[in-house]
Amino acid sequence: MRSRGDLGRHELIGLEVEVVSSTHPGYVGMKGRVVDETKRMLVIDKDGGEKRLPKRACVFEFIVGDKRERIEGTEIEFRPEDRIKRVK
Amino acid sequence: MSRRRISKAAAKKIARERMDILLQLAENEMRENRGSYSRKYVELACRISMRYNTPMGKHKRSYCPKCRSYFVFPKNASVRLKNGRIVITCAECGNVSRYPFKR
Repeated sequence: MRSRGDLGRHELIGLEVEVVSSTHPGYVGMKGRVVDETKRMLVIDKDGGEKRLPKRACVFEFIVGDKRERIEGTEIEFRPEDRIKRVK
Repeated sequence: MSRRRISKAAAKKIARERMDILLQLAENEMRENRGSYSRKYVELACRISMRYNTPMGKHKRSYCPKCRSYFVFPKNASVRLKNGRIVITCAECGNVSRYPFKR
């Protein structure tokens, strides 16, 4: 299923995510479950509230099973249904 | 046009896995009364299905074809047999789908 190296093409909705670095310090450390995705944003559920994170400005770490996988936001800046073909 | 970097078969495999994940999420959201998320997930699964030419298969009748609500059966949809047809009425939008069947 969602495996290492393939995550950029796979489904991100439902995964836990943490921002590990960002061009804007306010986003660093934001943590939550991905609930929606657009071309330029990831929407996460953080303690019951929605937070919108710009992909371009952040480096994400997704928790897949018991592993963590790091992805640059700029690598996945495509519409969710386009990522399968266009990532990398 | 961009160069294809992933083989068609591999893309379809990921597409099918993503559709399964999304429809499972849609079901869970609908059971917990978060219909708007549920509809978004079904909509995305439909778009993936069309983009990569991967049919819905077993999921085909598990959501409303008009408003994309995931059917949780006694709750937001009813199933009746009428005149040799399976009639599914969506309680979210009122859409009626009829499918013929053979006895």
